Amino acid sequence: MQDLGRAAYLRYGVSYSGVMDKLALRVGNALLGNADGAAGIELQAFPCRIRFRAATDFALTGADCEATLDGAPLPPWWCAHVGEGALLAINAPRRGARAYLSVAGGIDVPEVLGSRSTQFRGAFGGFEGRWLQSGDVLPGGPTEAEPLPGPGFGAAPPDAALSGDFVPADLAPGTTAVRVLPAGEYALFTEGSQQRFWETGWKISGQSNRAGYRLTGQTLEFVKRLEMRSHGIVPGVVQVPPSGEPIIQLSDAHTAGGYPKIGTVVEADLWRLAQAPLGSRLRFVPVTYGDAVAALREADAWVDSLRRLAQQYRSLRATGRKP
Amino acid sequence: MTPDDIRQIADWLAEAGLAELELTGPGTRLKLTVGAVRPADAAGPAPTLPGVVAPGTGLFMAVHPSRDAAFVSPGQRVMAGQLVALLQVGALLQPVAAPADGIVGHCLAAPGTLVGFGTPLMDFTPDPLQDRSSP
Repeated sequence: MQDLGRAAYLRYGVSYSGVMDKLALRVGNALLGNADGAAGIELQAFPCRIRFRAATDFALTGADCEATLDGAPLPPWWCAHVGEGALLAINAPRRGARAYLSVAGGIDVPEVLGSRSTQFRGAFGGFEGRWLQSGDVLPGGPTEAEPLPGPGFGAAPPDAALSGDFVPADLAPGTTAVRVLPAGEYALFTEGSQQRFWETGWKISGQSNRAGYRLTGQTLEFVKRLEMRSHGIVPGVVQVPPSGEPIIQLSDAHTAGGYPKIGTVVEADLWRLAQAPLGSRLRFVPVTYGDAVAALREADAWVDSLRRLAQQYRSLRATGRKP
Repeated sequence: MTPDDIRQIADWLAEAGLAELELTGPGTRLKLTVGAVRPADAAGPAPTLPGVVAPGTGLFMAVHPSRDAAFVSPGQRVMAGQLVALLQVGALLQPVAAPADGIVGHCLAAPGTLVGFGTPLMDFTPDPLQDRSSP
């Protein structure tokens, strides 16, 4: 169970936690009329079956899992009403890596340090501070939204909705392009290493998880051997340990680290990392700070417009008028 | 609202290729259906056969943007309320549902085109069994 994380406590050494794909959780909440940061379930092990013990509206976003609701196909990025006893079956993704289940009112567990996110290392927050297990029963939060009639409605997936202008024309199949800002120690790498950083199709190794992705493909070298003190890091930072193979720090990363940083995956593209499966490849695309901020604004505007349109659609349906 | 106003709105509807328009204001309720003659009994049910029509204004989509195959194929049996297509309105995907149990036919609107409220989207043959059972 995750929400948008504990950003406010990063400075005290508490990991961010939170969903890997914020866009997917936020869209689920927007479709449901929930608060932006209401807690949901991040699914990364499949297949998975969820039984609803009470009638509610729910949204399934993120990876495209060819889910079924009581046996009938459910479109990806979809929001619908279910009756008591309904069964949602979520299969291995045909595209993407993580699916997000949200319910009307969010999932209602106590906040710990301002968040309902599970903090695995400290074993607190979320549901009993641990991964969900088969048989767990989760409480839905209070909601004033009218139950949604009909077969529900959805959002156009972000890969279709958001601009992909930055994606290189020669991107190999099975490769995800993400935008990267050069970081503090970029200039300390050899020219050849800098070039390899941008040109390599980095493979996400099997030793990758919510804490970070270990990449393989090439080694990156420093002009001069470098010793650094530990310093604060944020999700998206690309570090290069002595092995020369980069690591991307993610949601469950430590709050500080001492490896030199060659770049930072921009916040607007962290969802793309979240949806890149193990074994697939990444391409880093250089971006300016201005373009990174513009990309974040574009994603925010998309979520805002979905929230507004969803609210209009819901109120029209609730009053029985045609939209 | 004068009869001339209504005539003007009807002309606009025809020009825009819209099949139906419903307008509600203070003390006024206007429903225009292009090409249909209907009794003035506003409270009564529509005497038309159920069809797969656009539930609003948007871009008609027979296929989900993440998928290759259409929601339904011609000749497929569907149940009342089943999702058979989408209407894209900005970033939102609104459902087009089967109006009754029956069989869907070919698309009547080109996917990707802007359609208006009531525009027929697909051939549809309601189940005869259901016709007999309805009052």
